[in-house]
Amino acid sequence: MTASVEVNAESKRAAGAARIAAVRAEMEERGLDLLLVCGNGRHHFIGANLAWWLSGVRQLGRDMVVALPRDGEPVLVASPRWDAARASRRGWISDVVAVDDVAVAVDELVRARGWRAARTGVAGRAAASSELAAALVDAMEREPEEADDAVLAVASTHDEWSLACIERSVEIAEAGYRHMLDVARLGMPEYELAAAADAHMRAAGADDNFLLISASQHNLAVHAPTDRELQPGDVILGEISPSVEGQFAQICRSAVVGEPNSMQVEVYGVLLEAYQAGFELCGPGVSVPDVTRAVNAVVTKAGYERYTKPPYMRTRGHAMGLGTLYPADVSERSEVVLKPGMAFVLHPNQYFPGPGYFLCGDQVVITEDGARALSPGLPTLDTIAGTVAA
Amino acid sequence: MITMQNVLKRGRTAWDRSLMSEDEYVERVRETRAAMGAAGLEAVVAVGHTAHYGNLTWLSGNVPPLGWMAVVLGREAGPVLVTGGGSRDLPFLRTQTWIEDIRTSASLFAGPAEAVSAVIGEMVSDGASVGLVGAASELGPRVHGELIGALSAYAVSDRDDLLFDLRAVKRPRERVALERSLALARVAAGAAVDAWEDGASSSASLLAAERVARARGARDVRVLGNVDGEELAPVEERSSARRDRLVGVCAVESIGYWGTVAIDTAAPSVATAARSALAAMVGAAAPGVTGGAVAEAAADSLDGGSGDVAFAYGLGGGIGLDPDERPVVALGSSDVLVPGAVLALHVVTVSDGGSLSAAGETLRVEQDGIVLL
Repeated sequence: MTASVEVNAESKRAAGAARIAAVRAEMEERGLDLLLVCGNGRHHFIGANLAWWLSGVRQLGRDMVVALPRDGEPVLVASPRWDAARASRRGWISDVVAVDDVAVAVDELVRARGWRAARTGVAGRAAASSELAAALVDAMEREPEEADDAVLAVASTHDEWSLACIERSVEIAEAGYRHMLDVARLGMPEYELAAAADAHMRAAGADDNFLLISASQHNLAVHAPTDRELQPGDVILGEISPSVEGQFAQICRSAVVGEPNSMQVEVYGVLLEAYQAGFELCGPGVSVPDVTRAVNAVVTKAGYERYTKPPYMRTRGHAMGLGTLYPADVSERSEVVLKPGMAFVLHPNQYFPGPGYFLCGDQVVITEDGARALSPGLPTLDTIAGTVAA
Repeated sequence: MITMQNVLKRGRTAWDRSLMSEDEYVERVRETRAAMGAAGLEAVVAVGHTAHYGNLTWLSGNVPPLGWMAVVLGREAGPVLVTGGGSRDLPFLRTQTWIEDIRTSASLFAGPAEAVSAVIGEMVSDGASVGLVGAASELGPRVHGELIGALSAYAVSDRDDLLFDLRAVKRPRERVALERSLALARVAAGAAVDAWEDGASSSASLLAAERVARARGARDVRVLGNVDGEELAPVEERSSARRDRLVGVCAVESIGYWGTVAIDTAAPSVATAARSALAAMVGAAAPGVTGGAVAEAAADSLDGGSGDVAFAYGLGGGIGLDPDERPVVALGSSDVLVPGAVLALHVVTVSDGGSLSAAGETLRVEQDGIVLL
């Protein structure tokens, strides 16, 4: 499964039409006359934003709602009111209402369109503000049904547009990482290095980025960039997660300032082998716990079983927004079975006594007959020459 | 302040101990406990979110990196910091807050109900009066409901106003932090103007502001500008479009505190509608005056169409750990400008010719007037 479309306005509109049609089919199956889909301006990379997914519009205000009748044109209720022109331009829904109070506007819309008695479902209610959540109930004659599944039935696997955005995000992440390697210098503060990588990715088209870049000679974990200055022997960790059209993707990389020592090489080799073991198992019908166990088995065999659990690691990978969080965390607690169109970062990132925490991971897409990693090659333990800052 | 909600934190993350030393927070906790006593509360839970964290950060010093965090404070016990993150992230979190007692929750996807109720149970007895600060607005209705449900053994009330008076008057060290963030925003906005004057596209110019702000230590940068039309918008894709003027708003956060600057490449001598209205607002701002009265001054300066646009964008208000604090400057606002408050005022509007203009000013309210920062 490779994205056969490019990230452009034409393919975006085509994707929008297909999503609306597919969700309408789900509404029909559930007997819903109206679907109100909520989005949350507090978008983050491990959260779904169903209204953004269904409209193509990144919201600026707290609330946004897509009102999708089974028959008739959808309406996008966005906030704030000064954002009307952009919301119309960016999305595929032509009927846009931009207001400051989405809760009031949804109530007015439902009354004006004669939808009060409609059998209504609400998706993304957990993302709504308290005011909007209350208004969604008050606006209707009978309480709307929970209908997250009507959207997630479509969004739980990535369509071609979404995959194209993920692939573009990975390209940008790779370029950002290479730029980071190019500009890193001894004495450079972590935050300056992160800023340089971030600016490179923003200029390349990333619309946001969940970016952790930190360094130490014995990392306990990756974290946000601090004032710490790069030193010889540091291991720079980069969890790099740009988004394109709101769709995030992630790569996890490690680089040593100077020549890596034998322990660093050894444990990175363990992580790479663990990544490959997990990746080779990935495919339709495979359970996420089985993938997790394949990763952990390599680390255990190398003598580090104790470190395959928190606080030495968090998870072996995870999905990222926009539309779907499936398959969520790659962990032994998961109940998800992989299927074509699922995408996630597979990352055996973890701590080792001695050399510390290392990152090693790539974005993976499940295909009809296996899995595909989106980076051009396997992750490597990279080296940065120990030059002095100018 | 004009901003957007959906921005991920990714810049410099540091507890500036030389400025915000532990004794600063000890004093804030003392004042909070006095306010709790006056309000009859035996414990409070102050909740913050990555997008809006003022109450939490005022007490803890820490800005949540992803999702919610909570500070639990008893009249005699605590404070305890409850995080949505897991144990892996504790070593770093401990470098970012003065609070020693940190508890983790089950997962990033879980709410604070279980962990917070356990901490409250250690601090007070059944039936005790517990105030929630910011829980309704920062957690969302479902998670807020779960928290209230988990605290059913206590007399729980939403007390979002508890810290308002304390936070409205900026403490000396907060003033320093705010002035530093404002200076950073000015440098960033200057970089945007420089890029634009060098011939860069509108979006590339706005990205220059982001780049410079982060390179100089901003954690969060939110820049909106006239990228594709005569309205403010974020940079969402590469574009070579270049407008006649660069107009925008640059907001920068450093160690939790915000600074904001308006961008407008119109010649300084040009009296744009935005500049005239801003001057009227600054002239009206004074201790004891309401935010509504300041907004009326802008309204008097703007004609109908320009006024409608300006009011849509908002006129600003208090600024601090949140970019949109009270007092609110808007028509009808009864919030009073108290000495010690810091306000970021701005006007974004269109002229008769339909072109966008922006102007902004940050000021501190003193006992006998205002000081422009």
